[in-house]
Amino acid sequence: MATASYPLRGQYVEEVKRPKLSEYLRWSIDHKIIGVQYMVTSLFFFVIAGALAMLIRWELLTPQTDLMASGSSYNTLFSIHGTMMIFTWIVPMFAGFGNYLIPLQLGAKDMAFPWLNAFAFWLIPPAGLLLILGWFVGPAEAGWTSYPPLSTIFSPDGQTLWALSIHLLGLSSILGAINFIVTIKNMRPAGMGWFQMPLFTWAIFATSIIVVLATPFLAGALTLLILDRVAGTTFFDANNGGDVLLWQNIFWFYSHPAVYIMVLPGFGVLSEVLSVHSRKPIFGYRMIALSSMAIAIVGFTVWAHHMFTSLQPELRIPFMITSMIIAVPTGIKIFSWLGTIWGGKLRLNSAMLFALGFLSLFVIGGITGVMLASVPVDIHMHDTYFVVTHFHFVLYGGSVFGIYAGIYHWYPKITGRLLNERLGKLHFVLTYLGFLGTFLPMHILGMQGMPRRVAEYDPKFQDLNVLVSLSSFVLGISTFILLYNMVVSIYKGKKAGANPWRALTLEWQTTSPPPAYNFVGDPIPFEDPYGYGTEASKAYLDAMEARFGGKPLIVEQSTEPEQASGD
Amino acid sequence: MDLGNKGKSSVNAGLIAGVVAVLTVLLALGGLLISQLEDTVLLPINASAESEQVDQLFRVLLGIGGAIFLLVEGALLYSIIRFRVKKGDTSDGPTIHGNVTLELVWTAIPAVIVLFLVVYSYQVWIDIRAPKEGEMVVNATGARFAWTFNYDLPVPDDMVAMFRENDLMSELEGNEEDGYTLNVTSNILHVYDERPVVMVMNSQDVIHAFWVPEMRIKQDLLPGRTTEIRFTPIALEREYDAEANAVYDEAADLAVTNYRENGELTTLVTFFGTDGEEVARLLETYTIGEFNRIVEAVRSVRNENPKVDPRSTSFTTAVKDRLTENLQNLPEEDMLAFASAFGTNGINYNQYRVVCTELCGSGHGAMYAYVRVYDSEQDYYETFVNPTIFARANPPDDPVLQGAQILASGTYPCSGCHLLQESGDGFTIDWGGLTGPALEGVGERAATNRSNSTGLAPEEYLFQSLYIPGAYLVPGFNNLMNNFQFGNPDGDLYMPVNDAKAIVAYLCSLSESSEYACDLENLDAYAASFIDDN
Repeated sequence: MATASYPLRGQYVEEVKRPKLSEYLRWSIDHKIIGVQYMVTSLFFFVIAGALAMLIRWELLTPQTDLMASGSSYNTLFSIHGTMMIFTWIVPMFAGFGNYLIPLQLGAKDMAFPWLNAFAFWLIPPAGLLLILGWFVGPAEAGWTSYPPLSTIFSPDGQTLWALSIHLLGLSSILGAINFIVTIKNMRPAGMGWFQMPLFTWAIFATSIIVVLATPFLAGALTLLILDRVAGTTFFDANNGGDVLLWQNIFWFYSHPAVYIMVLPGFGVLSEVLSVHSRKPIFGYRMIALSSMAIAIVGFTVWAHHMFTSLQPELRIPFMITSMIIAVPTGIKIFSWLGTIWGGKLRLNSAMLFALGFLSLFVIGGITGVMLASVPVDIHMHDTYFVVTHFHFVLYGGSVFGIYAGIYHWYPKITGRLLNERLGKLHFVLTYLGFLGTFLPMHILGMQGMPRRVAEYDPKFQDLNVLVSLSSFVLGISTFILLYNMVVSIYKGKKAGANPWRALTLEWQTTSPPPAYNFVGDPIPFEDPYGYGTEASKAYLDAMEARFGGKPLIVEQSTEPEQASGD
Repeated sequence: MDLGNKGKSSVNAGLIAGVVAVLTVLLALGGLLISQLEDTVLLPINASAESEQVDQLFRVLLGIGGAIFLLVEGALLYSIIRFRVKKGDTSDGPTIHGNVTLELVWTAIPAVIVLFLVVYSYQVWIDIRAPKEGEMVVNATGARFAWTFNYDLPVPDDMVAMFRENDLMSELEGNEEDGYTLNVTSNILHVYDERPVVMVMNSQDVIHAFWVPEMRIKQDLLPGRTTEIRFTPIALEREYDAEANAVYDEAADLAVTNYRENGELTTLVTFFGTDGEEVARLLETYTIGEFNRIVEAVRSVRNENPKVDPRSTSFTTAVKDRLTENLQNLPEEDMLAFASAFGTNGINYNQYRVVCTELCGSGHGAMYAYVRVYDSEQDYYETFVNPTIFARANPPDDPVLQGAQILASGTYPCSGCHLLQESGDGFTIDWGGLTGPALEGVGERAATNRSNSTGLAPEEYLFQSLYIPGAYLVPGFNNLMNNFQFGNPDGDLYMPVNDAKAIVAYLCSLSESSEYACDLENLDAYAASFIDDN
């Protein structure tokens, strides 16, 4: 327990000391410690998986296989890149945000099951290690989708480690999600009904429902795969009564909803950031909350659109219908966010820039998603760079930009210091331009005929590939600006105060960082988490400010970029 | 969409309607403009009838998507510029929680659009996969990492006679009454203009996918299942290619020279197709000088009028004008034969890549083949069908050449894993695979290093490597190759022993030094004992 250095409950303090570094390296059941553990671990894997992406792009500078020793080692690059980015970066990163923020946003002292919470986190480091260990026994090389029989009889032992690793990560995910659901259902404070919850909490709630319902299917598929590989069963072996499509069906029954597992929390971050930094209530709160639930439900009926080239032709139509329908709730969200910023007082700080960037990129991923839902068009696009760029627009332009926005927004709460705004803006500009240079040309590559997952390609595609690779290097480098900023600002960042953005949600109505058990006394939520622009909200924020001290940064934040300043 | 007006109920409704109408028109125009990108940069040319329909659908999607893109990004940019907080302004924005009408509108409109797209896509889908009349059936097999295409070609009567003469009737299927067919395997997919094709596809190992980007068709090949895909190729105009003609002319001259030396009709027929026999007759009728002068005249006319059909009267008249008087009276029949054999453009087909799009292992990127769309049925028969059947009816006596032709035909899927670039009489091998050992100079290595390691004679080692490739692995390579079988003629991996012997004979000739690496008599003996043992 990390409480010894903390002030006693009920005692008013000017400033809470940050936990010592060593507390983050130990078993802890404090949700704030666990949240940071999740985030730092995920960032570590993000850097590794990003480096793999750089190697992929380096190889693709030329149409022959030359950087890598063989096609196999290239296949390993993108297999582990995809697996890590999904299972050890985006999913646990948002779990980290959830862990840190959900109890705070609910005015609770901790998660419902603190011990389970810690256990779920500690499954991740060994799982990541298993993925890396694969390199010593012949690494997985069947892609993150690992279709049998390539992933069974044609793959080395690393594939078994890959499956075990994801098994552990899936378990971690399920345990975390159960914890979120129980916490959100039972631990809301008096006066906070379902529709007074912050939208980030709503998003984590919808996400957790998907995790609990979908991830067991992944576990089932992985179990069959492992049995086929090590116990001689033939679930996926067509020569012995098995069926290769069985894997695809179970895998995508998890993995399509997994897309929403990765992007719904990003939606949640976006709703928070856009509203706070536009100084305006969220537009259509109920529709945003309910559309998350609609996406969660309809998301379970679209899986086979990943199988339009392998599924029975007649069966493709129903999945086209459901896949198109899911565009409607997604569209509602996008229009509601536009409605939120429309007429507001936009403060273009780094968090807001990444949120607006998210919106501008995600809409492209959404449009290409509708194109891919159409069977005849998907027949042409399937398994090409068009698909690669589509899901990077959703998962990078969406989820990762959401993560970045969340980092700039909540870093002051977690550390008590602000990130350097000038570096933040540089980070945004380089990331945004690098992203466009990397992923826009990929649409053309895919449509013109370049399949995904190849180290060797038609030489006529080289010019565009060089452009993509060079841009991707900019994108890769830009990430280190954020990492540098995050490390340096812990010590040199400007003091944030309790509520630098004058936000109404509960996590801001306590010191930064919050004390042990989060709140001194019982927190009082404002009636509307996004009720900006009213006299009541102003009075509430003024009262909270008087209580927790620290001057709000909103005045300085208005138009001028923050000056970097020492302590 | 003007969200700014939602809170101000007093604003003139007519003004709002006007703004909305103007914006709608602008967005529609913008969408239309974006949809035109399809033709220019986004999608490749249309080499199948189906691709036109798919592209039309894509244009509609692109137009609608483009309008939505402009709407969202436009509103976003406008907001960032217009609503950016003024310096020193610390106040909050207006307290607007939503607008039910607006929310209903932006739920209903996308729902209607999506419904329309579903119905439209469904119609296109039903259309493009409907069976058509007179489909040509091609069997395709995917194996790591090469494609093979298998056809039953109808054999004309005069060719049947050749098979009979050469005692090769066992190669043909069918009977006297219904006609004979010949089963031919190739690593190139040969189709022709407007003839619908149905591909019947199987995989030998993992999942592969058949994709021709220019035709917008794709279908997975699944182990344990047979899948189908249909398309109707369209022959497209080609740029006149003087270089291709020059290459073609050079090869034609070589074929003629070879025939003069060895007298084997195969050399001519494999190059000229059905014109081959005519060329042989012409070579007997005319002196070398006359022959060359006529050919030169034909070519010069062709180079000046590349689009004129060489069998047309205008073409032959122009040729005659260029000949000396004694040659101008050559019979019409001979003139046509000259024009047909030497006046055609070098290439009578368009060629596109067949790409494997489902990850299948280390050689996935190298797993591609070509589909050739011939300009007409006649071109298809003259360039592909007839020469192929003729070559099978008249196999070369030399086992080395026989082996080379077998490998070049693509009967066996070697190209995806092995590197070999060789060409010669009636064959061209251009393989770029890297997953298996390179075959260049393999005869020499078989006789030295491999022989030392395995204790087998070079021909024995190579023969064994075809049927039991894992018996000895070249350092640095894994046991990934198919085990070919000699027992079951209907099996997927059937390789008759005679084919294997010819292939070994050819591989033995791949050597830097001029010395032939193998002992072919020993090969016969080894093959016989190998069959007994296995």
